[in-house]
Amino acid sequence: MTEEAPSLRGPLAVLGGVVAVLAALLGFVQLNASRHSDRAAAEGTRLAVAIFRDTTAAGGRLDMKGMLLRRQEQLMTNASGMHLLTGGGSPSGLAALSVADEHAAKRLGRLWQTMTGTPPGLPGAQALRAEQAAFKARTDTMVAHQNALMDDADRYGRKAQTAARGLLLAAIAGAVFTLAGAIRERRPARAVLGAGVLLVIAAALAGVVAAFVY
Amino acid sequence: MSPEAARSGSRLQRWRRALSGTSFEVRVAVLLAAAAIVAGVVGARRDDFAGGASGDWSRAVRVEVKRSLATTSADQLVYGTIIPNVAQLQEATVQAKAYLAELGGAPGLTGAERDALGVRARIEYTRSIALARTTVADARYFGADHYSRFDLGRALLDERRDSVRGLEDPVAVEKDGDRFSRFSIADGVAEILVAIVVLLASVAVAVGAARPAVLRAGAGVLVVAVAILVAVELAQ
Repeated sequence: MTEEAPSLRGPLAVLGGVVAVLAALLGFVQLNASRHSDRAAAEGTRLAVAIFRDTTAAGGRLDMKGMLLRRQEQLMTNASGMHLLTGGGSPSGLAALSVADEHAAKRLGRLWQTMTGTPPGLPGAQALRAEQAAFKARTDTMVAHQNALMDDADRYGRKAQTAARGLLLAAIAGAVFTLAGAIRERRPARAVLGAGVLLVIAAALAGVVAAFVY
Repeated sequence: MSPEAARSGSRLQRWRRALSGTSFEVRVAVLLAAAAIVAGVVGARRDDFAGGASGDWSRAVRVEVKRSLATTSADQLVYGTIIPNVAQLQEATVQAKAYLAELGGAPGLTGAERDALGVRARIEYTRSIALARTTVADARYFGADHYSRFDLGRALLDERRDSVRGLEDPVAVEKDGDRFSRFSIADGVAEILVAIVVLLASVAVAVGAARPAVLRAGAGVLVVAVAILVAVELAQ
């Protein structure tokens, strides 16, 4: 003899509502995690491009300063060397040229220091080293931030994936409850209902993990 | 009371009478149907917003690539071409001036030294005139003497500005995406409210017609969800 199961109607209705709320919450968690993941990935990629641009720009600037410094040093070294070799006088007139070149090298040093914005009083090579160190520190900070953003993108991506799995479980639970409602025998209907409840619990756990654990 | 207000008031009363006259099941069905319509609208729009946000963030990356390419080219032009030309011009001019100063100022120069200084001064001046021609395009960044003071910062700024002219600001594009993302979150909240309406309707079915307040609470929550829907629509 089969048992009718009208008493399941109430619990099934409530469980259907619970599944709807759970699905909405899981959808929300997934939406939120996805947007964080997308945002962090885009920001991280944008930052990587910016780091590359800054590195290229700083490389160009340092090259230029190095080139100016080398030119000035070369002129000064040649002039000083010539000055020493000619010993203050020469039949070819090189001594006078070397004195003039020394003056020119000093003047160029000042001009280029002003043009490149090097602090006055700081020797060129020292200024270049300080700028290189500052650039490296700045780049390291940007790279650390970029890496953190990419890690965030991964983390939120996992959250979204977990929430999507929870949604799938909730959908299956909904289908199982429909099946329980369709079964007219009480005992199998209750068993199916129990399986559905377990699925709802699993979906809720997935939601909790997605929202709070990662 | 105006005839218009009287008419709308009586229409409301007719609706109320019609609803109170309907059976409990019909009221649950009406609430669920309304919730389903709102859920459909909210869900579609939420996806639209989320897609818009994601699209804008991706576009910000593409814009950043374009801008970076443009500014890198500008930097290379300034550091790799303009500045070496300017430096050569300055070197030639400063050397020529130093030779002339030595020629005119140093006492006891030999004839050979005078000849050497004069020849080198002439050579460097000729070189500086030739180099000045190559830097005519950047004349506005020099001081009045067209050699001693070159405004590197301004030249770089102008080249960069010219190179990115017509390109969007990636930060602004990203902010547009953030805006869409916030709207999608508001729609997500509205969707949770709609699901709560479904839950309340289910509870109402479970407890039966004995608890009409549950159904009324569901209707109230649905009104809040619709209010969010309308507020987001007005805010965009």
